[in-house]
Amino acid sequence: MRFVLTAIAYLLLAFPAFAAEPVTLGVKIIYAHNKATGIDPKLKKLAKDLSSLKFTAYELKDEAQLALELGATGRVQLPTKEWLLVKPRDIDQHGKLRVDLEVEKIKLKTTSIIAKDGTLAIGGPAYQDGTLILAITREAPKPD
Amino acid sequence: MTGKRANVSDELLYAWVDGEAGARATEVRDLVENDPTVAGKAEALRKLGRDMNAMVDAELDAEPVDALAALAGIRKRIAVRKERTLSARLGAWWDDVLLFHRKALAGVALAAGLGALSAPGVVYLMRDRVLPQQGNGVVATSVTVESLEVGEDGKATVLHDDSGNTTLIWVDSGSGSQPLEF
Repeated sequence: MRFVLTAIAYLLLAFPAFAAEPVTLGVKIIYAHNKATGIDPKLKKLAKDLSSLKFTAYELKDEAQLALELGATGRVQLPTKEWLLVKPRDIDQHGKLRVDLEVEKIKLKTTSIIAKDGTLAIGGPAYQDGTLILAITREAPKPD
Repeated sequence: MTGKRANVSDELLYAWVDGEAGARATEVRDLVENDPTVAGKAEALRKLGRDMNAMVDAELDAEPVDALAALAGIRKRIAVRKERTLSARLGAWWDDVLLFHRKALAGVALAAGLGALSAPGVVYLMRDRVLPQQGNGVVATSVTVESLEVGEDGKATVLHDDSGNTTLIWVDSGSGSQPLEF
């Protein structure tokens, strides 16, 4: 038994991914449209990014923070009842996260690499005369 | 997106240009030889592929080989080309634009020209993209789109902001909506 535990400990040291803390990803579901003007204050950090799109209003419809083990799949339901699937795969030697994302509604699948504080936004799903924008941000884990 | 040109689909035409039309190669060749529109499209695709390959070859031939400098050079030359495209009409804040249709070879040709791999329906983009800053410096993006797949009629646009912190994948699933200002 002691040998087994020791072997596991060595494995964890040799392959840090096995021992890694859950990956924290912030997901914001943004409703972009032209029926009004303004941007949700909670989207302040993304305001500059969004301003280049031609919508006049950006509402935060929902947000979630996913803490996922590598290889685990997280799901976030969109206002359209469709799902955004998020699966962190691995972290490279530079700390960058490779993650699989899938949005069934728009038949999108992507594998992307996100550095800490990086944001990948996916736009396109139609919603109430506007569009949903899904912003996935690699966040630092919150301290306990 | 019409999806059809005469009796040849865009997909088939792109495959023919790429030498992968298989048993329908003769049929497509006849169309190219007899339909100026199809011929023009085919030539445009050939030219795009040649230009992109020449661009990469030129950078790779440079000595000493410095991956970052090479990428910066490629990026700069792509930017120059983009100034002559519709993509350049995007807001100045967005720095990088890559456009492709699932059915279009253009995106595949671009990816292939950059030394990446491609497969039907999937476009693998450069892993370590760099963006120009003011002056001669470069900044690495925080997000790299490694692979991207959209539906049959989908069109995707990948944009990076000038800080490199945010990347946007915009998917036009064929509904006709186009929120980007092309």
